[in-house]
Amino acid sequence: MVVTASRLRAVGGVGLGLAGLAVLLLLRLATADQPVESVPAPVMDGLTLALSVLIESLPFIVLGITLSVIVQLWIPQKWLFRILPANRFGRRFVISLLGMFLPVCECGNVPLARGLVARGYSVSDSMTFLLAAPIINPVTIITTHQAFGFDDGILVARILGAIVIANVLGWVFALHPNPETLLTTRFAAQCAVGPSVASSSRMQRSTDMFLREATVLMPALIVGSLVAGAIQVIVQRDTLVALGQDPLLSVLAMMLLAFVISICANVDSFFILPFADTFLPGSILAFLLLGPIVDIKMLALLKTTYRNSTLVRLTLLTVLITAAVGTAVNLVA
Amino acid sequence: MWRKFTTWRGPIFIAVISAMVLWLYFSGQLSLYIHPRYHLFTAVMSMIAVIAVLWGVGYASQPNAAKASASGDGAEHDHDHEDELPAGRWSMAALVGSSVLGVATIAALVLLPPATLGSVTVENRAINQSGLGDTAASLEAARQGDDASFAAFTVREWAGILRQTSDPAFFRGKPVEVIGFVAEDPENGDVFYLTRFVVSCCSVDAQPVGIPISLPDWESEWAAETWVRVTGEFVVNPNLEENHPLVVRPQSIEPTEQPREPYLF
Repeated sequence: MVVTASRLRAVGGVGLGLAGLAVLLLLRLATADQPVESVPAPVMDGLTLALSVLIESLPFIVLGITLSVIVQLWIPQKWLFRILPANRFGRRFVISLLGMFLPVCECGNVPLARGLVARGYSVSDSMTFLLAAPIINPVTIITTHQAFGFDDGILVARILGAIVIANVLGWVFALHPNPETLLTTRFAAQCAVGPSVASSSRMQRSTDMFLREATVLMPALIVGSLVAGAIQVIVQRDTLVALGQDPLLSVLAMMLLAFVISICANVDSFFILPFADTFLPGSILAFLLLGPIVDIKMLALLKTTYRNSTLVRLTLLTVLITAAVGTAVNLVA
Repeated sequence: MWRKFTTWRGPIFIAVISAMVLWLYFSGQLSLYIHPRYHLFTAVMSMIAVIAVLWGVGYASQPNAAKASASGDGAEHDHDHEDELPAGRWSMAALVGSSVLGVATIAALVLLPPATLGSVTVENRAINQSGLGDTAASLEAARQGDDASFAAFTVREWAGILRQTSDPAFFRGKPVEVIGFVAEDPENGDVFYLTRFVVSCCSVDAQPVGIPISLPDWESEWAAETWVRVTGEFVVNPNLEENHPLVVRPQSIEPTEQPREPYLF
């Protein structure tokens, strides 16, 4: 009897949720063809660009949260550690290749890396994963190959560059005496509680976890996308592109473009391909290395997990290494 | 109430945005934001998000949900929400600010019709800077082309051919019939650009491509962003002071509907 009442309430709740979505869809249908002359053109274009970043990232966030739930609740903990060598450099190297089994871009990797820390990975190990996996994964490798083939060695350089950046930063952050202070207080507290042993079913805990990750990540994703959209209306793209031929300036311009554009690693090769005619290969490489790690949207997402001071260090180190690699390739190529 | 708000705002955001993405998918308008190659993946993931949130609403509605929260997983959950209560003025501002932006984003998705990019973005990104595709292939197709293949050319192919050659003899007898929207040429007054956006991933990377249409005082006839069909032929630019050696001399310019897929992929 109790079970029936409980089930009825659950069905009622889902019904209410569905009704809410139905009302919004009806509103959407009713306003679908309304003209919008009242919205100024720059606002409208900024909004379209922001929604484009949001809609492009959304499926990867959902995939990342889903994989994070699977890693935390459906995979035995020993699997996560068995494949790792005891030596810490070897361990980080193997971790930087884990993305090969998890085809998520950088926004999806944020919940996944959070899941790995919650599951017992050290902060620096999870950061190594977070930095490498968006590039060292089958989807990004395939799309980069589709866009560039093996021309100019961009694909190989991108893979090697990502491994170097991830391992160097993993090593640097491993030197920190209290790594847990790199995390936000809230996330550290959540990890300290550890994986839960609850009376509720695993399915229920999976759903809870999905909702909780959405609670943390969605506001960050929205803010990041809106800022990225607004900045693209303000910053003149052709000024950036005019810097194409200088070995150092063009690297900096491409890094700035990657930062502003906030596009996912799985698809960024198609974005940058049309610029390959006008820009030196090292500059294209800098775009492809920096974007998956540091951009407006990613900083908003990373802020859910890492403290500001951690993000400043992470950004500076990544920018320095990327600029060095990009300029070196430009000078040699 | 406060706790409910902080717990549910993220799930509501993801469910509503995903539902709107599904509407865009089923109404055939998702390509206003992302390349068609990502449509199915995006739709499937949006469906997963909507189902997961509704599933969660179902669990949360059960009377024993509160009881379960008191122990095990729930204890962790509760602890989490205590922490989510804004501790200081800045966290409060961040919470309110991100909530307002989230609601505004949802309002935009629900109330504003999906829109293509316009002249603001054209001005921001120089026309024909990139996105012309394989211009040598376009030139070759034009060299061997018959009227049927010229009819299939878009502004992108013609702009690519113009990049390859400015020999007026090459263009003789090659009819131009293309659609696009009107955009100002900031450097030349007697022409407007017939423009399309080329998108390789999502509209963030939209790159304007266009061809110059010769029509002195065009502003008095056509407003920027109007979609038009132009027929004509490339000829030597009558205004020698302008930096286009060749321009389209239009035989006709007619207003037309914005195509269902306004971007070129």
